[in-house]
Amino acid sequence: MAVNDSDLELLHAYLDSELPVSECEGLWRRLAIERDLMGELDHLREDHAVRSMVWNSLEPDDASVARLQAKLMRASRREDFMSWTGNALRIVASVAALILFGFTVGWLGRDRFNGAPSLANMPSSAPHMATAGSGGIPLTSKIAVEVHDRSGKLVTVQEFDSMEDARRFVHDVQAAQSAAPSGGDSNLGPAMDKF
Amino acid sequence: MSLEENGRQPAAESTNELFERAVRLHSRRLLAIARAIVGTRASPEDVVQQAFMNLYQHRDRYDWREAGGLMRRTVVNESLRILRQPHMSVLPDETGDPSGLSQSPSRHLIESETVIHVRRAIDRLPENFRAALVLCEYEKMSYAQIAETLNASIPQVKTWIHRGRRQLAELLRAYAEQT
Repeated sequence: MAVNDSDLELLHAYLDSELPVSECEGLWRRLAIERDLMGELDHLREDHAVRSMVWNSLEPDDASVARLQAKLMRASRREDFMSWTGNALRIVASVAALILFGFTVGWLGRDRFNGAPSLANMPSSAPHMATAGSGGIPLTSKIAVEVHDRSGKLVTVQEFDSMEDARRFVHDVQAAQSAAPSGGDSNLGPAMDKF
Repeated sequence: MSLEENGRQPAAESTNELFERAVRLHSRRLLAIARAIVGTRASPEDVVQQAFMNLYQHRDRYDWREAGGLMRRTVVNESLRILRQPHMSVLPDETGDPSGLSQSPSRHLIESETVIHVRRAIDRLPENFRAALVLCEYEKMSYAQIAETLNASIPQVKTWIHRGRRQLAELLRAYAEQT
């Protein structure tokens, strides 16, 4: 009986020790009675032996192996150096970028912070700015004028959009105070002098 | 004795030392595998070096105490990658000095010639067939291990090995008929 392709595959699997035991038993029975199959197995074994010689002939000599190992060691040390240098450069670049970022933010923000007066810089007699809580950061650019009674107690705080309006208000209050026989109950705080 | 057989290395051994040890242990066989797969189309040394350096760049990801399988897989993949690149230049054939053959001069000549022709025939096989064959017959790997290394299924590997052997037999039969 001629050996077909599936028989060949079976024999290859058998030679590679990849055939399950149950199939091996069936194959052995066939090999015992089928001469062609047995002949083919012997032929494949010979081919296998020739190919083994070929694979062995591919093994490099000691000099080639030593050369490759030396090249690999050099390359790995070069890689270590490059990796170390790369890390160092990354750190330096990160620090430089942070400094540059801080400087840029400061540079871009300088006009915004320079234009607004802070409470610390204002004289105690100046009209108070409207503030949020105790943080001291001006929320608006409104002018605040405090109105006190004669005992110095704060009566109210009047806000104005412009210095001109504030001056006009102060002027009106002074006019009203001078027109009143007793000079009026209210008194503008020390800020009045600025207007 | 391989690293795998030796068991675990001392914890104090650094990754670089383990890498160097793995290179010393496996480079000879990996060079042979690369040579079998790339044939004369690339330098096996360059293939192995590139594969090892690819691993070394990410060395902290791998367990270098059992590096044999990892290195083999990387070398096979690098060999196949090289072969799939266009414009491969053909290197001079180095088949003239097959080692480990018979001591008899006349027998040696005959066997050398046979080996040269079989190597040329192997070189003409499709790259997957060649890779599967070398892993099966030279590395004695199981079909399952070959499938994992080549990122293929077991039936596909069986087919590659079977067809590779059949094509090889046909090529050698044609050569025998010519001579």
